[in-house]
Amino acid sequence: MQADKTLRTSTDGTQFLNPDLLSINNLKDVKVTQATSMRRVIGVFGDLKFDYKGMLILGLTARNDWSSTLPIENRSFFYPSYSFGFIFSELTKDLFKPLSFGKARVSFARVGKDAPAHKLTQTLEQYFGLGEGWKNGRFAGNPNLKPEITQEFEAGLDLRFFVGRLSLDATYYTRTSFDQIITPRVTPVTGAVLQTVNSGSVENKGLEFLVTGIPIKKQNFEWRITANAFGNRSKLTKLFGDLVEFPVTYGQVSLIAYASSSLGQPLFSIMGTDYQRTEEGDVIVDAEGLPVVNSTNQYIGNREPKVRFGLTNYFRYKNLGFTILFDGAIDADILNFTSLSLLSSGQNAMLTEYRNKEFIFKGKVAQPDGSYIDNTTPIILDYSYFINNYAYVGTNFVEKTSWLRARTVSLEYFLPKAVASKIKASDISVNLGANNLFLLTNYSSGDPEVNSAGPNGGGASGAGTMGVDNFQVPTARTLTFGFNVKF
Amino acid sequence: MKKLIILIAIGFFFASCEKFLDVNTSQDTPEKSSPNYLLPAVLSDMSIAVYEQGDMTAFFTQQVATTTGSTSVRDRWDFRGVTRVGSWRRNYYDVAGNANKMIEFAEAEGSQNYIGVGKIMKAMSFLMATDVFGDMPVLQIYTGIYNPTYDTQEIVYGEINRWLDEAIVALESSTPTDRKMDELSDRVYKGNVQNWLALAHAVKARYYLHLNDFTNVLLQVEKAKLNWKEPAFAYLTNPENSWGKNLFGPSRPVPNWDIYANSLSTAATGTFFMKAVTAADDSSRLYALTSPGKNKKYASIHTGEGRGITSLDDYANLYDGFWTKDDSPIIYLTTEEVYFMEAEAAFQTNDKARAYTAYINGIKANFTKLGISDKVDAYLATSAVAQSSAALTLSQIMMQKYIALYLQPEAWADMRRYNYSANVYTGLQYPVNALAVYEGKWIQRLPYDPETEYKYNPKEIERLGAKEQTWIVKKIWWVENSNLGN
Repeated sequence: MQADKTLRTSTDGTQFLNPDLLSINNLKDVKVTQATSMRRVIGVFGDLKFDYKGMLILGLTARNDWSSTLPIENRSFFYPSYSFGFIFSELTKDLFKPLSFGKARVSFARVGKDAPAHKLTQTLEQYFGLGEGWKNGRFAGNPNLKPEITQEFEAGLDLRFFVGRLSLDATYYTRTSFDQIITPRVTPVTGAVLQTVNSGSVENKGLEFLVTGIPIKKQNFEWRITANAFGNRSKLTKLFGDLVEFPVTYGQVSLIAYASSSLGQPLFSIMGTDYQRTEEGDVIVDAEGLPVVNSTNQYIGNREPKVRFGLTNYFRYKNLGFTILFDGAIDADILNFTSLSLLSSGQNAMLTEYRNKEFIFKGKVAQPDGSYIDNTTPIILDYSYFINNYAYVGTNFVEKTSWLRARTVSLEYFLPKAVASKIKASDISVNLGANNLFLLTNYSSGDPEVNSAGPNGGGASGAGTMGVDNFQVPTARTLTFGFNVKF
Repeated sequence: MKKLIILIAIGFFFASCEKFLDVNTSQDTPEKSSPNYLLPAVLSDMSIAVYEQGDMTAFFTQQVATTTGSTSVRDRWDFRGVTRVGSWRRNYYDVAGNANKMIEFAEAEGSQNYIGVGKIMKAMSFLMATDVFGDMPVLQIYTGIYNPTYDTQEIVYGEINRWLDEAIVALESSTPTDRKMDELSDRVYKGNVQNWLALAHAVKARYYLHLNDFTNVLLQVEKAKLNWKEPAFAYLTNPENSWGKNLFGPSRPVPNWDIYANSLSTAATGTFFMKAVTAADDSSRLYALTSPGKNKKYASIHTGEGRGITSLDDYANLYDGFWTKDDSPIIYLTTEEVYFMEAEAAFQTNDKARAYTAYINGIKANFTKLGISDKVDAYLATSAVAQSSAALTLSQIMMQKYIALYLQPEAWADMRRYNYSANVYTGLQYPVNALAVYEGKWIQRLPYDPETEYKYNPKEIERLGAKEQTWIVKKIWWVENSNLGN
């Protein structure tokens, strides 16, 4: 059983009367609002495990929840999970010695989730204006809310060789979420501004690999390697009503390219404008030599990297430990709004190379008979070109980006036990670390690992603003010095 | 025995579970209230609606013009970069949405006065909205449907007329046993049912005028004048909060996030308006509508030309005129409008004598409102005013109405109804910076709110063709049907 109760009293105002007094007492247009939120859940849980000779393992779990936040008829929801493991090394241990452990596993699980509290009916809200009183609340009620269900299938292989000196873990998964609960805008024709709804479905599938190895393991010297890589592919398969696109609330940096999720496309899409193109994909150039803009917004990028990876090396020589961790990503599309802003104010570094230069665009010019010939007309890349043409093409500000970062480098020295025991400590160590030591990337602005409004930037399934660079301050390079005593 | 106890215990457990989970009702916000606590928001939001439309349409009617000449919406009629058109939400959610809730609560307790006032406000709000948007949902409103059908404007008009008729029936059957309506709930008429009835008839007159149904205009004006009092929403002289100030005022208040600060700080008097308001060298109303600029000159700007090399100090200050002080009232429908509706309708039905009287009354009412009634006799004697019913022209009526409806959205309705005719609006010129894609056609409507409609109702938008850039120069239904001014 779970009971949450949140009491919130918020006060906001607009202008400070005395400019240097930072107090609520000193504000105009003071609005005070009290909100009490209550949510209660009852859960019943069961867990069953079968084990056959330590070789075949079958697990079953079942859970039923009753949540106060859902309508009575949808209040109860059941979600089971099934898992099956086969430790085949039990059969092969005499045939193939190097394999010390081998397991194959498959599992299927369902997870249910309830809604935010108090979203079934529309209530009135305080009116802040002359005469005061009440007005209709901005949240429409939704008496038909259902729990959100996520279903996951996973298959994996776990292999360990040479008594654990080398191990490999590989996983494939598909995860589908149905009836996701989000609170988007709705048309005011409903009499409200927002509504909590069971919206779309999202499919995710991916592969994950983890390799760990211990090439050297001696009394005085040890070397461990951990490498991991994973890639996820997402697709938005359903939205509520007639909606075909769900823009990310805080990712609307520009009208020509913005963070969005649209039907049939990845969850972390960039939508925006591109050049007009021939069927072969060549840019169409007009008779004056200017590329032609297609101002219809379309899918122009996926902000989620194709692959993410990490590599950790750990060395120990006697009492001295050294760790170096690299990580990075391959092929993420970054929406570089910083570049667009700098262009508008004439400060984009690219301009120093191209400003007022003669240039021939690579592209095709349409002929009266419908055929295309290569463009040969030069133009001058002047102010008017950059402001009226270049800046209206979203794809000019989307960069396919990869990066490699030295995430952490650290050195740790353990004082001899004899020293530690003098102050009755079990361990004393000192360490020196450097974070974000260097970054290798083909990205033209600052740091490609951006998320300007965080994971809660709004959007279908909380798709945040990953990959939206809006004057993001790059990750800091930090040095740390630590002193650790364990008793 | 033990078993029985366990069974009873289990029974209690499940019964109390239901109770345990029964906590999903909001503790801080009610679902219902008596209607007197909803009326203030309805009336105040209606003032915002009038402001919000006026602040944009006054640029289309060339009463004012931007000093840059190159803003997207107000000069070039370019809505491509616009992410919000506030009038949409203001109608459906704020004014009519609240009025609808109030009507619901009033009907439950049988308060005819609140039912009537609610229906007038709902009708007036929809009338203002459909006059700028054209076709829009009305039959499926407040049903929870995400992708409502856009009804034709003819259907929308039919519903508005029905609501007004129902409002009149409700108000006429209001008795003293109805819930009290006083100055606390009704900042406009202090609960005077007769005044509200008069307004219902005035809104009906405006409604029939748009349809060029002049006989009914005259009938409704007749009834409106019986207990007429201007529906003025008063602001405070020295308010503590920005929501106590008129949104057209010089302090450019933004009491809520969804309200834009007014555009008058970067605007000047429009050239066309300037000629009208200073005709026959009588500038008394210009001085009352504006305040002097630094150089005490009265330069003007034709829409789209911008100020060029003229100093900003050579223009009048648009603030601190009658309509543009922090404590100016917002008037939903002015006395002058009633007179000029009568004048036009009488003129169009060949009752020149009645037209002339109403015309003169309209001018007098305007001078009185602006606090310069001492100057009206001198003005009436100038060549700017028709000296007899025989000399009166339609253009003179419409130009006087145009001056009287300074910053009022209804001025745009008139101009469109007369098809921007340069015969009626003598000397009216097309703006110099309107987008070429409009091919010289005048602006006729606002696009639907891009924040919701183009995303949530794409099929209806597609069906109407509202995605086209030229949608805003397509005439709305009653303009399409009006051949006036040709």
